[in-house]
Amino acid sequence: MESAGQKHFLATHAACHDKVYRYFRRRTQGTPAAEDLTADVFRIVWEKSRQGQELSELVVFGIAGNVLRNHRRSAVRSMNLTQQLERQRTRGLGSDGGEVREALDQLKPEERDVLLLTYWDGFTSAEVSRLLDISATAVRMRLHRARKQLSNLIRADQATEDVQR
Amino acid sequence: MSSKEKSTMDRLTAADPASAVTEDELARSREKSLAVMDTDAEHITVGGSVADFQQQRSRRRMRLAAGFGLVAAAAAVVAGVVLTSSMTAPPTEQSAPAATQLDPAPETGSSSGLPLPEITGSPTPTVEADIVAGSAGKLAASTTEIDGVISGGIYMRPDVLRTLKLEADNNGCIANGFLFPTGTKVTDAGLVMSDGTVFRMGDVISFGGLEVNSKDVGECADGRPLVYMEEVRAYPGKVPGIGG
Repeated sequence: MESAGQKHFLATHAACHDKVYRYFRRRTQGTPAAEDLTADVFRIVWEKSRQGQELSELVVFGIAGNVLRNHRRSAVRSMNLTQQLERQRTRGLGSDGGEVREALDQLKPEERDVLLLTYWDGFTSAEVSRLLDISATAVRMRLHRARKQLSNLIRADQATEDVQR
Repeated sequence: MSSKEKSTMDRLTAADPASAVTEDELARSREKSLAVMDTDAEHITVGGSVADFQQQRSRRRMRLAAGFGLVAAAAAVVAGVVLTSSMTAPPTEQSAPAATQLDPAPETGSSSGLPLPEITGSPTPTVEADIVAGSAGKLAASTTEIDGVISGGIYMRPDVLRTLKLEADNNGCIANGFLFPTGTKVTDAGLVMSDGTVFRMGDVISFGGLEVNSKDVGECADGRPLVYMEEVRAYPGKVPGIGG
């Protein structure tokens, strides 16, 4: 039983680790946080594997989403450190990345989630629907709005920069 | 999708922070996340393991937003909860009462005259979660401290659903480590919250909410309730009777 759990864990780890790590790297500041949160996810996966639970990629990402939410709440309560670091990290991105990032920050969280899960994490609409526990129609609507809004925001930023030049 | 939107999405993809992830990073993270297989920790709670708690049938479930546990670390961030039973077996010899207790209040209604603590520590409230039962008080737990415990290898998060059955061993015991709101008292009747709500031995309480200000209790990241208790030990004194 234990060896079956180990086998299952290792298979899940091999299939999901890199995606989970990237998921956290996209949403947290720096590698230490991503490493810690990834390890946190796989500690939970390990416990579930030992209990004989089947863990699909979507289940693992569901766990990752919860871990991320916990991390963010904790970080916000720690004197908004995350935001400060995020700003620092954003400044560290290329100018285009920073601009996109700022525009992303202005999107509604639920729309940003759908957008990033789709374009950064590579999930299909159906998978996003299951991950966020919302209907496929809602995913498509949010995605549509997010794309449009992001495009408008970036254009607006671009126009402002052009005027300033 | 319009061409402008497509262009925006191309820029979004190009701005993916994960595009900078290196193989070294991944290797380091793989190693770290595989190390969880080497751990086999079990959380200890009053009266049994976490699993025991989760399997217990609730006689009475109440929602109580409260903070939770930290050990001795800082006297400034403290609270100890003494839970005593009505059982008569003599207490075993143990170490001193919870080092995390602040200002034990002599008057808490103990018929035995044994000073029982009133929780008077006032850690910085970090979560604006109401106590659902009674709507009084605030969760008072320092996430900094909690995070320290987490980084020490123990999985514990604020705001997640926690259930706790108030009970004691034969000798009474100190459930050291839970943080309850300032003003919470431990009396012969049980645990008295600052709004007067009494929780007696055997009551099952749950606390923590998934969302700040939510009235709904949350859940652990892995979807199951979790009880964490740092330390359980016998109460080093005469065991007072417990009502209820």
